[in-house]
This record gives sequence, structure tokens and C-alpha cells, in this order.
Amino acid sequence: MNIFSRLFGRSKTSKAIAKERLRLVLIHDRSGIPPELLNVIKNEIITVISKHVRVDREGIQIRLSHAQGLTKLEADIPIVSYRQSPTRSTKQSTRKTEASR
Amino acid sequence: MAGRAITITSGKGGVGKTTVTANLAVALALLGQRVAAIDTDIGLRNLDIIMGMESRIIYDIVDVVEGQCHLLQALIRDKRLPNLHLLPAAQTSDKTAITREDMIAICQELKADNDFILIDSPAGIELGFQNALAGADEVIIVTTPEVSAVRSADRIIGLIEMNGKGPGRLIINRIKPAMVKRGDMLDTYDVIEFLAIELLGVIPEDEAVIVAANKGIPLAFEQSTLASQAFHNIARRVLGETVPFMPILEERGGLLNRLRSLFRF
Repeated sequence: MNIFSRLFGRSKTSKAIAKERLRLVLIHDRSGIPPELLNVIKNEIITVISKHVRVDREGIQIRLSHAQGLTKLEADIPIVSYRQSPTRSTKQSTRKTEASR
Repeated sequence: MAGRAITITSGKGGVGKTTVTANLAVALALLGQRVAAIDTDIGLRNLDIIMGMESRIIYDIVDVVEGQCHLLQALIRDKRLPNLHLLPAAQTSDKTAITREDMIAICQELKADNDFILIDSPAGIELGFQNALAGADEVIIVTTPEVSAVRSADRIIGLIEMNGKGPGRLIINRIKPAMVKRGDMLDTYDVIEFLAIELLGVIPEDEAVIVAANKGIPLAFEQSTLASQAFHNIARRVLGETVPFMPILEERGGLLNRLRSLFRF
């Protein structure tokens, strides 16, 4: 409520909080997909991808988004390395793939 | 030419459906349109109270459906506007007393003698809402700038589209410019961004609405307040006119706009 704390970015307006909460609620309402199902999907995706590449489990984000009448399932999966060459970084691995083609 | 049936709905209760229906009916009638308003909130009728016609009810919509009377006998003519009629809901029956087919038939019959049929929907997404939607050619969704109301509106918009009546047009009711200004209320743009349907009007919070309800004289009979002006603007947009939105839409410059609106009348 304090105008000064808002000016200095210490607290959000209640409108900003309302918008954040509404955005999440509407995405789940519209898709009919409850948040708990996303966790199940996340674990299964990890299982599949981990067969081929080493992924950063902590950094994985699975979420629903909605734009232009379409609901999308978005997955951000940071790759640590290929299984075959676990010491290399992601960037190096990618280059290697391109070179081998 | 046959009339247009417009259902006014919201999902959540208490956002002002009945107030919007009554005032839109009066505003359209003042513009020379022949209007019939139907209260479909069976068991909880209220449109008669807001329009000041509660003491004149003889028959209601359930009597019409059950064949106790003809449709014309149940219609109450407004004493001030001869081209404005109300078909009241029943107070003692329940929602199962009428079917979608009944609603379609009643709307069809009313369209012959009216330019507009305004159907006041009950809250909720059950039978009463489905009935209210059945006869509609168009839908108006009413919301307030609150998280719960916007969420309900979003759900109802989905259901309206599923029924092939969508997407409908939106009225945002009870905006408080002072709260918007200090960041404690969603503004028009926020609501539109979420619901992504056409905006039909924005009505500012106005104590005069309660005074009007106390008296049974809808605000739209006079054009002395911002809210009443908003109803008239909505009526003209329904008629196809392009009417600029009121300064209430603008987040900043509240005082200047308030002065401007004072001088407008």
C-alpha cells in the first residue's frame, strides 16, 4: 500500500499480483490440464530424454502457455551433455554434431 | 424485420447482469426501439424490482410455458415507455419448469413485435444459464475488474463458444478509477487482454445505481451520471453506432476527464 515502497520496487501493486494469479489460473482452466498432471508429464519426459542426453533435472521447466487461441505445452530442458561424451559442454556437442554431418 | 435476441450473462453472480439488462432495455427503448426484457432467473426473480414493475405482475414465464396464459398477457408494459415490456420470471417454481425449446419458442414469438429481446440470465453454468442462452442470437458477458469475476467470465465465454453462440461482447462493470490509478484494480486493458473478446462498454462504479434500484427507476431514464451515460453509449453501440469510449477508460488524467464529463451534459 505504501507509495514509496512501490516507487522503489519493493512491493508489487495488488493489480500486478492479480494479473499473475489470473494468468496462471486461466491457462489451466482453459486447457483442462491440472497442475499435478504437468508433474507427471515432466517426469516421463525426463525418462525419455535421459536415454539419449544428460539433462539438468533441476533446470527443467514444463509449463502451459496460451496465445492466439492455442494452448501450448512448453518444455525448457537444459542439456548438460551427450551421453557418449559426458565431459563435453552442450555448445561443443552441438558443434560436433554439425561437423559430423 | 425480426428482432435480435441478446442474452446478458456472467457466470459469477453479483456483477450486475440485472442492472445492465434493465438499463440497456431502458436506453434502447428511449432510442425508439421496441424492447422486451425477459427474466430467466426462475425462483430468484429480480429484474421486475430493478425496473419498478414488481407490483404489476399477474402472470410469469412459467405460466406462459404451462399454457396458463398467452405470452401477451404475461408481458408488463412500462408506464413510462410504451415500447418497453417485461416478461417476469416465476418466483415459486424451479429451473426445471422451462426447457430450451420453451425459451426458443418465446423468443421467436417476441421477435415478431420487438426490435430487441434482452434475456437476463441467472448466475452459474447450469440449466438456467443453458436456457437463457438457447434463444440468443448474440451474447453480452458482464464482468467486474476482479480476479474471481474475470475467471468466471473466461469460463462462460468458453461455454458460449461451445454452444455456437460466441464469442460475445464484453461489458466491464463497476470500474473504480481511483483504485485503478493507485494500482489496486485491473483496468479495462488488463481485462480485455485476458478475455480477448470485443469490448461493448465500461461502466464506472456509481452510487446512483443503488439509489435507482431503491426507487425502481433505472438510471438510464436520466443521463445525469457517468454510469447512466455509459449505458446509453452501450445501447448506441448495440445499434451499430461507433461511440468513443468514455475517459474512464484512460488510466491517467482522471480529474481532467471528470471535469470534461461534467461539462458534457
